[in-house]
Amino acid sequence: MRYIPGVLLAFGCLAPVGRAGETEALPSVTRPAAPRWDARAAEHLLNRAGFGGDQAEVQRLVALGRERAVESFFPDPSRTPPPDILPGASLDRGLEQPAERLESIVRRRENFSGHQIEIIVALNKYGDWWLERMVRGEDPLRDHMTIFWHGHFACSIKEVADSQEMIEQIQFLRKNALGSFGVLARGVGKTPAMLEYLDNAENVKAHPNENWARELMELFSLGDGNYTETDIKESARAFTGWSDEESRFTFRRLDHDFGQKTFLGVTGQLDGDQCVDIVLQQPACARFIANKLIAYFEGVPPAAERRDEYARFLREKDYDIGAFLRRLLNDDEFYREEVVGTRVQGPVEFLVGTCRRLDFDVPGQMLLNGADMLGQRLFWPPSVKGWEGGMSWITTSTLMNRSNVTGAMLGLVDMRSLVFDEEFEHDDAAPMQAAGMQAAPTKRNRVSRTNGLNHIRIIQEQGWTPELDVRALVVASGAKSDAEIARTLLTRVLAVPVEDAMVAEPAAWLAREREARGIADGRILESEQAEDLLRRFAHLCLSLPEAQLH
Amino acid sequence: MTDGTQNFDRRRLLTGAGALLGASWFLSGRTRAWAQPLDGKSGDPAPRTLLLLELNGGNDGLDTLIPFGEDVYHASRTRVGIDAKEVLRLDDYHGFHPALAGLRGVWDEGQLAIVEGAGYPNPNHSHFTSQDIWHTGQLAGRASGDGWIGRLMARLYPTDRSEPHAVHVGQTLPYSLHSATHPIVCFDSPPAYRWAENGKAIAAAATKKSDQMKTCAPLDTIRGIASNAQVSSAEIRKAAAQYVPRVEYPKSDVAQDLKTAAALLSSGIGVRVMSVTHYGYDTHEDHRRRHDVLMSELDGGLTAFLRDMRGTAAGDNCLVMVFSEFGRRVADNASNGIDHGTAGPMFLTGTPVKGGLYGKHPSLQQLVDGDLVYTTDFRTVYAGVLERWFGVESEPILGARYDALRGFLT
Repeated sequence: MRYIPGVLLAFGCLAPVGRAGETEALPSVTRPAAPRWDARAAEHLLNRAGFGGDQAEVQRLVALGRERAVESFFPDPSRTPPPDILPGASLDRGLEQPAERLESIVRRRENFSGHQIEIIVALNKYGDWWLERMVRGEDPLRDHMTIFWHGHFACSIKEVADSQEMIEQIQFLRKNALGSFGVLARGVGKTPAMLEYLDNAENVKAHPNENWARELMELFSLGDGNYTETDIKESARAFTGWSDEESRFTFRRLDHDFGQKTFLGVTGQLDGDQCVDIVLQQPACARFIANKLIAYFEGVPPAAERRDEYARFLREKDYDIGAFLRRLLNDDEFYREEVVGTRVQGPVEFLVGTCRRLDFDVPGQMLLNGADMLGQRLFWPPSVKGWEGGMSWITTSTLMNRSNVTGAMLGLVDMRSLVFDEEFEHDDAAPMQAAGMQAAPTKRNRVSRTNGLNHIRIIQEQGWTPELDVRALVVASGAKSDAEIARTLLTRVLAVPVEDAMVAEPAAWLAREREARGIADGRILESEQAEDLLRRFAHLCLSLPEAQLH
Repeated sequence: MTDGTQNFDRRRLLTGAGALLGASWFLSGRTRAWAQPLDGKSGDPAPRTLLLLELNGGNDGLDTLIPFGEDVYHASRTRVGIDAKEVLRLDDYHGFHPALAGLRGVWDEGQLAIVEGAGYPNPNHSHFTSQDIWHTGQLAGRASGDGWIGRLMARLYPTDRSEPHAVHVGQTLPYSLHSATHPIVCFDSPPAYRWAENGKAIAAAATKKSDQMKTCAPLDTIRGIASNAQVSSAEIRKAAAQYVPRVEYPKSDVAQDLKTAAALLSSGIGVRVMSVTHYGYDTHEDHRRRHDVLMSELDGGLTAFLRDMRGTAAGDNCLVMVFSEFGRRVADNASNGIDHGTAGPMFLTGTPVKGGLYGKHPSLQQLVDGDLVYTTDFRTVYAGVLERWFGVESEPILGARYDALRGFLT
């Protein structure tokens, strides 16, 4: 069903927009009304296709109408060209010699080699560029889908061990993020990062290595149960000889098994490319991808019938992901009650969205490393299965870290307090020496094992402070009383609609804090403590369960 | 905030969590229930506990407990095999990896039980499917419901669903601990396990639910997690900060996690199951070098843990189980690595354990598709732990009746 713009509805005109006759076969009276295209729906689109935004952006989308609003997430690719591999990132902006600082910290923590430090610095630079781009919102759906494919065709720098190869793979995913899944599936196995990560570079006729063949089917295209162990063994033979040399794909004829194979019912002297094509022809492949995309964007898996309909569409369109997403984002089902405001924001979505909703800039590498603390370390997916997503983002630990990282972004949380903790400063030496044992004091607690925490701490130690004016946001809204300010900032900070019942408790906190500081009701904005108090209030809002959803 | 309000808030949040979980329980007067004895037997100061140590990625069982007396082993591993001269011999057939000297000592002391050839029917070679099978004890994996530890919590605490008794050290919670009804705690590093600013206000606001508020299932779940975070943060930090280990733990991540596990198990804060994951076992290439490091880390960490706990009440009551989602192929590959396989050994260790070999080594002569055929269903080990250690029926947890492993406890 096509979207009917609210303007037409307002005039009582129910003529469907779209190809003539398309909807006439069905009696329109039996269909549920199209969801309203209002601020709530527009913000939903902005949250899921983009990284959220302020009310001005929401209103801009409302004014466009749904179809044009959706279309605005597909800018002409020539307008947002992919960058040079290592763009002149703002790594050094406002920070003194972070690379050297980082190096000394990392050396202390891990005994890393110079090569490993180079990797971390290079990926921080690229990540810095990438995250800042997301905050600016130049091509947010592409950024979203690049993260999606990075989690789908997951490769970790831990095994790839070459920053250039890692970045080239991300660039490949970004270039094709809204293009054809066929191009992605055919190409990703030839990226040196994948050849290294899943060991196909070592897959030779005499001793086939099954790693890539298995994950291609299990995780990248078909899903468990849609192939046999024999299919894995046979296709592993077909992929023999796919290797890399000096960070370029190379086909080693001498290592390739040119013999006959039977793969998913097809027999012949199959090579790797043919095997990928056979995979793409399986109905199970389109179902698997359709299911994963819908579940990702809606936060709940689709009903089987709807999944199959989208799978058919995907195959008809030759796996065109852009066409798939246009259809999904224009689908009334995407705007249903069960979907809107009920998805757990991923770490990157949550942190980038916070910057966009409060309209302030944070160094990209702070967001990159903050996301690490929340369980999403870009370039280091936890396994070949990528990030599980959904409610698995929230554990007791990451929930508290969501508060701590946004607190650091707002200039309220000093990460050193989570690393240098007096309670943990005793060492193990004394009792062990008393027991006649030799022991060096354990200073491990001084450097967290979480890379992200160490990195944010370095940024803070360099004297970074946020350029943020929460008070100005409140002044612009006209809010004065505790309740008005509470509602204004909750609306500003949350990605979900603010209900009356949600305001009372935070407003009561604001009143208590205001009184404790000796400020009269309605006078907060005139106080010298306004900015600090309002930031603390925004931080409280960001720590609420409601703030984790969008 | 006055104390009265705080108590009210706590009552509210717990009631909210209880209602959410479908529980009908009554909040008793105690405010620090988590610090009390926990299995309902109030006279029992140190309840029985389990430490689960997962070797993630598929540990090569044949290079852990090496059948050095088997010609096929040496013939199949021309690139990466371990020479018979290097193994730490247990008898004329079995030997330990050369880096397992500490565990060899535990074996000599009679506190290491090795279950040989643990696996399950129709072995799955996917890490994730196989992990799900091990984490649930059911071939249907996650489709069968909660993880087996989550189900154990439901058996041990049928009415008390407010306090976490299962804790994982690390960023990623293994599915074995997953529970739709009972709280689970997971953290990476004790010093950072807190709200750094405004914690009281956040905890109060995050766990509170107004009756007029519209709500959805994810929101209720997050409120429950916030309440678990609040309840566990102070206890865990205190336990970890005050703990003075009796031995020096190595610097590896797994050893440090085991130290944290020892701290929590010794602290009397009510932990019944601790979980630790040792990562990196997927050795498709460069197997020998990588596996040597892993064995050395495992040996150093686990031996330190056992020595640290030995002779304490917590140690007397702690059973350790070491497992991996599968073993690896018998033959190595051209990358000097070994691909995914099937059965492998499990370890049960700790003061309460009666050491020795349990079951029999899988045949290296009769392979199926180049893989070992399991000789012990791992669920008989789970059943043994559930019935003989925790004293609960295993059938409701494992979904079927298994012949529970016997004789492994002193």
